[in-house]
Amino acid sequence: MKLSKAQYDEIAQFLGHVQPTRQSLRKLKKRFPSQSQSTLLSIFSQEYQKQIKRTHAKHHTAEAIETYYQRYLSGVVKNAGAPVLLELANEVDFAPSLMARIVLERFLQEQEGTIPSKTLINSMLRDPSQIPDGVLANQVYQCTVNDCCYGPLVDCIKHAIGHEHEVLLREMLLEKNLSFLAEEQLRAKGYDKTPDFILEVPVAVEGHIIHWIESKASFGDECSHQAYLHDQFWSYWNRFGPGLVIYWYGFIEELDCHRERGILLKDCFPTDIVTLRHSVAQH
Amino acid sequence: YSPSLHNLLRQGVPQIDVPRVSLLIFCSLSLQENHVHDKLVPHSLLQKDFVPFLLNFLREQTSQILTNGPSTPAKTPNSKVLRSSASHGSQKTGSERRAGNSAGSCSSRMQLFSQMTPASSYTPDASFPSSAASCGSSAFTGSILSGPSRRSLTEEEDGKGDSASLSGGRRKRSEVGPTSANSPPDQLNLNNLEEFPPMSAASGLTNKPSRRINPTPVSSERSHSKPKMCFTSTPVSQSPAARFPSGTSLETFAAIQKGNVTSITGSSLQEEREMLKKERYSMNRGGNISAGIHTSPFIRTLPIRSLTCADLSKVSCKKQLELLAQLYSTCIAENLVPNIFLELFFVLQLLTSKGTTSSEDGENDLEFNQECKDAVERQHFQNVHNCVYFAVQVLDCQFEIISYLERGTLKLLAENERIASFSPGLHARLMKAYESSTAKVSLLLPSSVQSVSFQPETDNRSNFPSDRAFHIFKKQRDIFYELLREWEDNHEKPGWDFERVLGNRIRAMMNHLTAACNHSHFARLFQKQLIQMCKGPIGGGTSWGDTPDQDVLNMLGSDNLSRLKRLQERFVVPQSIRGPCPPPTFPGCQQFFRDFILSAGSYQFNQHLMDSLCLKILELDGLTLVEHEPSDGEADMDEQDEKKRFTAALMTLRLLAKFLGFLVFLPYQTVEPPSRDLQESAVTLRNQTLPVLDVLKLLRQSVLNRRTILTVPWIVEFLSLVDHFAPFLDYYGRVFSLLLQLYRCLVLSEDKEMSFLNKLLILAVLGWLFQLLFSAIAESGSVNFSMHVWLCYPLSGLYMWGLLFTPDFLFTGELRKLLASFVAGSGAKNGGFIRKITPTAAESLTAKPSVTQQKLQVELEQAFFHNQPPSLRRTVEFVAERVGSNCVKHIKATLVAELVKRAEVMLQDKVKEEDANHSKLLDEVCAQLYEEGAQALHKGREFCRLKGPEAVRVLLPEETSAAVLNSAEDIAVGLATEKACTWLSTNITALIKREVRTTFNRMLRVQGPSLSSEDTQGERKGCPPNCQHHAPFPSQIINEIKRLQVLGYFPDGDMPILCFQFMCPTSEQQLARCTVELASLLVSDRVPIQDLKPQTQKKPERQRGRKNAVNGLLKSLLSVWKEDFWTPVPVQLMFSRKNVGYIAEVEQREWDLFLFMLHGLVDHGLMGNAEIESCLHSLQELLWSSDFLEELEAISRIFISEYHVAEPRTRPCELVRQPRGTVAAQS
Repeated sequence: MKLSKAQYDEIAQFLGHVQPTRQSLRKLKKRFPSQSQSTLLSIFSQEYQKQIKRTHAKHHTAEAIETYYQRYLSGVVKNAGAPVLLELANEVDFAPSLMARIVLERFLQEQEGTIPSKTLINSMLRDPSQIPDGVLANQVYQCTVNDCCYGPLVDCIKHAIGHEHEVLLREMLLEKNLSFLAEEQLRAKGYDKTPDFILEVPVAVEGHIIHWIESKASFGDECSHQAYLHDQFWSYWNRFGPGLVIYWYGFIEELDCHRERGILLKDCFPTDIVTLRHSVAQH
Repeated sequence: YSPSLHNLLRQGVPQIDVPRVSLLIFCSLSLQENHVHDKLVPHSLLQKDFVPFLLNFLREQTSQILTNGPSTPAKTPNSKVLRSSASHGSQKTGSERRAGNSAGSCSSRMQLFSQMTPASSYTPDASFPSSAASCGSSAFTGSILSGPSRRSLTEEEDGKGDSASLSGGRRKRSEVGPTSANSPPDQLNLNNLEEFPPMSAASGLTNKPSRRINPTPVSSERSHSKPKMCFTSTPVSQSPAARFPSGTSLETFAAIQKGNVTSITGSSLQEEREMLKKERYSMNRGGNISAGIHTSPFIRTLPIRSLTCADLSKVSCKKQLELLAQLYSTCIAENLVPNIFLELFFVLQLLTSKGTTSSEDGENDLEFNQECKDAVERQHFQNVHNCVYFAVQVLDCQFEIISYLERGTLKLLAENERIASFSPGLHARLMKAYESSTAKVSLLLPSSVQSVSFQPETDNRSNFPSDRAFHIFKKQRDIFYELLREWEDNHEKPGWDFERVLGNRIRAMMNHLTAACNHSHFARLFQKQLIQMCKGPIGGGTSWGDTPDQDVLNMLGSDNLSRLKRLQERFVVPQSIRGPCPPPTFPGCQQFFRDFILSAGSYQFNQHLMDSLCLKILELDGLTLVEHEPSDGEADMDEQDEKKRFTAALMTLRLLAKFLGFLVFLPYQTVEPPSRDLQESAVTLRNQTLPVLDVLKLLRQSVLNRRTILTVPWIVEFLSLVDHFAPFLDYYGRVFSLLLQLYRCLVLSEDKEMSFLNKLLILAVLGWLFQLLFSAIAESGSVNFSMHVWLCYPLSGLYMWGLLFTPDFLFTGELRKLLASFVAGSGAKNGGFIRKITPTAAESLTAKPSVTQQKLQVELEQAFFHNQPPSLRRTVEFVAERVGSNCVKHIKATLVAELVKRAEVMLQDKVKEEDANHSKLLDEVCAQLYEEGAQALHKGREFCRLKGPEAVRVLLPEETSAAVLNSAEDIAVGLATEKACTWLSTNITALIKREVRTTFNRMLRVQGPSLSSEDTQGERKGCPPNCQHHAPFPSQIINEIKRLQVLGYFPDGDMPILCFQFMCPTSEQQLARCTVELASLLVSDRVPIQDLKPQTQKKPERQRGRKNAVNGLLKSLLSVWKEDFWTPVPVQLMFSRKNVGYIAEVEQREWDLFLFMLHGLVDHGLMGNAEIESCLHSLQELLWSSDFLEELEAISRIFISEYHVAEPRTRPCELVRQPRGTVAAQS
């Protein structure tokens, strides 16, 4: 679903004042009933991530870490069963999973005497039972399951959604009888940058030639789109010519400004596709 | 001045013997070094001086009347009031020169030639007296030379004509240069008309004052304020704006004007001016140069006036103008002028001159002409009428070249009312030429910026030494396009500076490339992107302007597309008259690439890029050129393909060569003209190095292989970027010398060796190059260049050197713009000639729908190839071309052949019915066939659909995926079909008609009574089925019969069997005639028969045997006539006076043989009874002896009675002495 910049700004502004909770999401839906749920969810998630990014440094100062750790310790001492970490995270406006990570890191550092590796932390977050302390393991678990934007579960869900949409797109391409090379084939051939699909025979979408299609299972807001343009879309253009990006959860209309130059944005699989048909009858 | 010609013209043009002088001059012009006629030896000096003199003379003469054209007229003469001049302005200050900029390219109208010819030619004793002596001083009266003019001339020759003072003055000036710019105006000379022209309301049109100023280059942050000595070449380091192709904005236009006419050959022109001024002053003031204020007859105060109406009746001194036009045209025709287009431009300027005449003109002229009787000093071009008269005369002589101009220009010429009123004949010819002209300016559709596609074969990891190199290049590619996009978005914004914005990023990128040794990869990417973006004429080089290419549109085959393109052309083609001498520029996207190279400043990158460019140039220069016979109207498909290919290769070659030249000479480019001291050592040093690309070898090869049309244009582009010293190097000296020889060889006339247009193209580019070369030399201030280079190569002819000194070069497009501006009447306002095009909504809307369907398909097709390996495209295009071509051949061989066969049948029937109107009949029959001809398209499609995929499948790799293969097949079929069907649909009716007509003509010739044609033979005549074709040739038989007739005896036996294997109509006819003659002789019984051994037999026996033999011969003749001959046998000849006379001459007449013959003719159906009767009857009316007449009558009676009474089989043949039994037995 395409949103105008104004519409988007309204949503973003609304989100600036709410907590990243299911309840907030319900309020959001109520406030913008005409928007699709998935779009709102995606924007919700992005806005929350932006907020987290803004405050990330604040929560990672040595003092903050120490404070959180001490509060955790004192909290579990009082009541080991209570969601100490989760409540702490909500209290300081920080993502529960990230709070869990901070505390876990601090805990392991104290235990082992060295800074633990990222892999180890990630692995423990993914599977809290690996955490040597049972209480902490429980606390971490509560955090990850209750986090709607971060954490291994959310990451996994996001990845799954991305993949599902790729598969969906592949199905649609096959259905339309459009021949393509998928990412893995391209990698095998030694391409240095690889969009999701390169069309073996280009088509025209809404009058614009496209050579490749990239699937994005998220909402295209300014921030993410600029990053994608720089890291991916222009690079594809530089190698394969113009192409199509599908933001399945919609995008800000105004961002679709490079059509003439060769980056086309859509929020669904295009219907207006013209294929190369050299029927002799056309002459 | 060239004294010799001076003298020549001074003898008083009215008295001059025009043909003699023309001849004289013509001869002297056409001289080859070794072929100087004795009588012309005294004039050998004349030849080298004449042309420069003539051209300078014309420029000088017309300088006041010409206000149109690429000049930006000085608007306020006031601004010049403060201009200083020391000693009559011989030392102009820098500020003056800069002020002269605003005068723009009016400098182009100044002296075309400066006094650069060797000094010796100017010394009076060297040429003047000798030519004066020989130029028929009988017609030369002292009175003409008397008076002020004579004095002035002497003065000039004795004083300023001295070349020592020339060079002295020149050097001095170049030293003074910028410093004097700051010096205060030291002296005001109000008498100097050059400096202080009279004010006039129309002064906006009078650019005489500004003419006298040395222009300076526009100053920018990167160029220097010092004046350039270069006429045309914009310094390499000049800001991009100056080289940007003129758009619509006036600022840009002004910038270009400034850039183009950066400076002037200055010094030498200065001398000329001085001389001229002196001369004029002395002429009017009795030689008193320092005399006070006077009014010049040259400059009149003029009222405001719109376009003057040129009037033939107001032309004065017609005869002189005609002579001048004749001389001038000869110079053009003989390639003695440095640039044909420049001269045409000049002529058109004259034709379209705005005219500053007033009604008093006539009187003034009269007065004036009385005042100065000297032919050279006399103003022949003082009014519009004279200018137009001269221009029309020249145009008339140069009609052939003009007729090759593109349609738009021709239209403007044809519609020019001045031509119409001055020469209705020329007007009519122009009209005709316009109507039949197809030469259209067309531009390729600009491809929007497209990336160079990633090709795994050349771009994947395996092509890089390390992962790091691979990844760095990945980044570089993205950065490069990022820079390109940024440039695209911003470069036209005011204040945007390439170096400031992009410079550091480019250099950082270069550092990364150097670290990773990735230069070769990047150079390849750079070059590919360059070709992709700039190969079209729009972004591409425009050194010779519009490229006629009618086929580009056809290629796209869409009405909408062509309309879009036309619209686009009108917007893209610069509308301002850029002046006839543009320096090499980097227009459009080329600018990005040039600035990139400059900002990068990377030795490694440049070297790799040069390698890459050389390779590609060599590859393209090797393009196979197929020669085509000039086709008769029906353009051949293959030829069109060739043209397309050739054009593409030529455009790309020129682009690449320009960049190669830019890179090769970049290290030696200097903003300031280097001093001559440096030159010697620099040349010595650089003579040791090898050229990057052996252009001399390539040039020689191209001359040998007759490929100059491809090679010369790009070599010219390459050389157009030479630095100051390069022309002095041995190697490039040889190159230039060869080019000069080539230029002289290519006299424009139709011949078989080379087409007119090809020559015109080569002449245009060469003329342009010579101009640039001249600039480079002029900058170096070396007069001795000619000695240095040209004397080493005597073939090039020293006098050509003078020709090189010309400041102008012209695009053909400029001609049109000039003419268009004349029509629009927009005049010289602001110096801009902006065509009035109002883009309406309707027009842009018509362009829009085309963007949808057909255009989309074309785009999809192009896009399809983009990411595929290049070989795929080559294969598909090749298949399409061949299949399309074969398809047409196939249709010709099958459908058309079949239709022609049917037409033949139809015609055969009808031609018998009505003998009346053959062409009408032909049309009718053809019309019936056209409908069926339409099948050709259908069949053509079928053919392509069948053959295309087969070929593609075989030629593409096995591994090609199905989708790609299918698309490739479809595109190939589509292209082939389009190609074939386009051709068929436009040509099928013409083709059918042509074929049918040919067949019909053949048919008529075969059937017609007079089988006159030798080369046509109708249906192939059949020999007997078992014929072994062993019979003697018809010629042998004829020869034999002829011999027999001469010898007067015949062989015994049958006639030889005729074999038609080698028969042609004439020999058949001849044989028929001969055999009839033979029969006549036999019938007279006066011919001896061979092998009858007369001695051994008794007389009656001999007689009988003889008769038998003769009867036998006659019988076989009859049979041959009936059976073998296809052509009618003229048996009637037997009854001619001559042949019957054979019988009459014999004493004892033998009529039985004659009678036998008559019966034979009837029996064989060769003649009817009645016919024979009438023949006999008419025989009797001739004058015979009485006894013979009696016998003849008797024979007639017998013949008639026999055929009227008896039935043919058993006719009595009794009457004569011979018993009939013999005959009957033999029959």
